[in-house]
Amino acid sequence: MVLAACLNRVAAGDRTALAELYRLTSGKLFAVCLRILGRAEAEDVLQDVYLTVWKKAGLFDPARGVSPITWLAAVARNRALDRLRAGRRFAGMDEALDIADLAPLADAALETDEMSRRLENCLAGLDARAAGAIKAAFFGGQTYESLAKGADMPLGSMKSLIRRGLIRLKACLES
Amino acid sequence: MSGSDEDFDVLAAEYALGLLDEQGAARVAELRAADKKFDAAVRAWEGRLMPLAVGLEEVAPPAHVWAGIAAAVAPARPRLWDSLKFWRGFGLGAAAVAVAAVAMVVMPRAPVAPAAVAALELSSGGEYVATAERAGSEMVLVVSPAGVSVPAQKSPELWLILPGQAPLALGLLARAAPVVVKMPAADIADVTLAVSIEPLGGAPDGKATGPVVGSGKFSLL
Repeated sequence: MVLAACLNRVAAGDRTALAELYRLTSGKLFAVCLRILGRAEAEDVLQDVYLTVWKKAGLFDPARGVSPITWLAAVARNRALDRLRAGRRFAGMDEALDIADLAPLADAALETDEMSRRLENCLAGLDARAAGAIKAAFFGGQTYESLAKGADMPLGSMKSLIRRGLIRLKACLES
Repeated sequence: MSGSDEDFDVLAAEYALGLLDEQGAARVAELRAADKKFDAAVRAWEGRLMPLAVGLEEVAPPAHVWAGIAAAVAPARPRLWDSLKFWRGFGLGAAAVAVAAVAMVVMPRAPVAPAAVAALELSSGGEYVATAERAGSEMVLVVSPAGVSVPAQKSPELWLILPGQAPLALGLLARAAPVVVKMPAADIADVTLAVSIEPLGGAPDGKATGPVVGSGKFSLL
């Protein structure tokens, strides 16, 4: 509720509300950027995220049933992934893609609230490779192709592995 | 759920995760624009997966990130820069305008790259973040509030404290907008900044009268 009110005021051009929003959410959004990018780029993108929010807070629509922090995290993730993809394009998309992200995340970082715990539990119930690939895609901007190459699997096998994982994940989250 | 519904939903998940190659993603983006049900399925997946991001442990960003944001959103009136001192005399509104001038001068393209930053956490709530840059024989400070709480009918005032010297009034601060102040160049390691709560309009006779609610030293960037 507090965040939703903040976003409303930011949409109306209230700089104090922007400062308050930053105070309340920058730690979380910086963590999202840092998960995807190196430190310097993450700082740069974080600044960009709040300037985007400053201009586009009006696009947040609570009636759509998305919580403000989820919306903000999505903005941060999208911005960070855009930056990551732009960087890769410059570096040459065909170079060896880093698959270090395929390792499971440290669970300790994800214990903060009920939704995260639930998602983490459901992911833990999947084939470990599928869960790793889903997380890697979420934070790493990886496509089927790069995941298959990284795991040294045929493209078709990677696709069915992840698709099965996604179907089971949804069933688990809705159970 | 029938096979095709399942395919539809998996496609939405693949799109939300960014698994599709560029061509595939472009095709699906068209589908999303044309089909509300599909768009809803994509958003549902984003909602399902976003706890991965929301669940991350918080990491405090460095103070200069906010300083850059505050400078960038300040109202733009670049020509007032030349008469910064003059405008400062008119108080907070003018100072807020002046920060835009700094924004224009310092960051035409790149974000602000200040030389040093100090965070002044207030006992009354919130903090001021001061960034310092050398400009000839002076230092220019941009002091940005973040969630600052100051009693009504009072003015927060910024002070420069150097070892063995009386506190020097640097100017009034705003509750919501960044303010630009100048101070004589000094060894940044010696500098302590403090915020006191003064009667409206600032401390009489340039001497602090109110309680000091926050202070801090600079760290070099």
